[in-house]
Amino acid sequence: MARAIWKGVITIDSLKVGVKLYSAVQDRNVHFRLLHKKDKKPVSQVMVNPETDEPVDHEEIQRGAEIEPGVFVLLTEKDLKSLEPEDSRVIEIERFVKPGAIDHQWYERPYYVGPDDDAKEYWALVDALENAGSEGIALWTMRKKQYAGSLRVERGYLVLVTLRFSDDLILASELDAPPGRKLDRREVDMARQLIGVMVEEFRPEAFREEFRDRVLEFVEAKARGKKFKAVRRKKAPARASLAGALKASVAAARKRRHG
Amino acid sequence: MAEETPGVRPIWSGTITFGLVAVPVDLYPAVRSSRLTLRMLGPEGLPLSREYVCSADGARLDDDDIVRGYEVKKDKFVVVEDKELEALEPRKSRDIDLRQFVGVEEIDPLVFERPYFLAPSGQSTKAYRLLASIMEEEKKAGIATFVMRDSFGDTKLNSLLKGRAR
Repeated sequence: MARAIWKGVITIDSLKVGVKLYSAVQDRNVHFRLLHKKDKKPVSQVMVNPETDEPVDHEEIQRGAEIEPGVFVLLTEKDLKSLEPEDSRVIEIERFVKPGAIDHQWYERPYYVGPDDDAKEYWALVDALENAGSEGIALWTMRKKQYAGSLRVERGYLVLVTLRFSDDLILASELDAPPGRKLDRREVDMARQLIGVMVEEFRPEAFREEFRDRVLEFVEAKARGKKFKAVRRKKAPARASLAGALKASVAAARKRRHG
Repeated sequence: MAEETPGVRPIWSGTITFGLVAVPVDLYPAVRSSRLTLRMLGPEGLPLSREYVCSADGARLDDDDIVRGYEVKKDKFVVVEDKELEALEPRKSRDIDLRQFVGVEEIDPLVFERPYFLAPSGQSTKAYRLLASIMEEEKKAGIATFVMRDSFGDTKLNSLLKGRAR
């Protein structure tokens, strides 16, 4: 099994359950480096005094918070240390909510939660959560950072998904609703049909990261001095008339489904 | 839209395609970082600027002197150009290929990564409103694939994302 990244104690009133956290996602992005065009050597960053254009040594760099344009409050390492939240192993379950109560926009980073020592308590908590059909709102401090999270059961295991803080969310109400005339009944019906025939069970594994695979194949080929020819899937061009496009799409989707 | 809502600006634009229907959209961030960001200051308190230098010869580099490379083995890089990356995209650039619909509750929060808002762009909002209103009524989420690349200068490549067009 994967290595645990953190250990804690889920605390619900007087109940305490020792747990280990495991990362539930991994970075699979292709990472590039920036290179100097002439010699193909990696570039590095330097911090430069904009007035003299001279680089500033790392030890001389200070950090500051901009409280108003151009005005900075200096923060030393000691200041920053003193502001860090106190470490604790407690994952406190504050309350329980019904599934669906938390909009998807709040969810951030998932962790699998495994039992630490006493597996019995762990499975009891899984059962309790599953029976209640609810998720717990958790608060904890991990690696000098405060987190809020949702404690859920997924496929029989506890999962803790960190939640964003409200200041970090942009609400739909901050955007204007798209204007326009009332929708045509016939077009609504056709769009509903089209969406209906495109409803399928969600299988995340069916979605390969095609682009990532191609980029990796391409760089391997290029490194060996070979040409790599990417084949692009063809797709019919979109129609100009919305009603015509909807009708043709429903027919095509039905045919694909039955054909 | 951008003029009317200061502070929330589109970061990308594309076209949702489903069946033969095309819905041009602008992408807005749905999250922001409220964390305090600290600036790096010089000994006299002057904010510093970030510059690139070559790690081998120390030369100061402009954007034109910099290329993107992939490390195939230690210290061996293959240069990858914008044009080459574009040619590797599975679909026409900027297509948000809506592949299927599922019940909103069927999606496990584990697969979510970063939310964006999609707003209609261009003259007609009809196709957008059709899609959005029915998805909302029927409590459906669309599963779409698209490639959104960071502009040059960033070393991170956003690979194919699973998005919810909502």
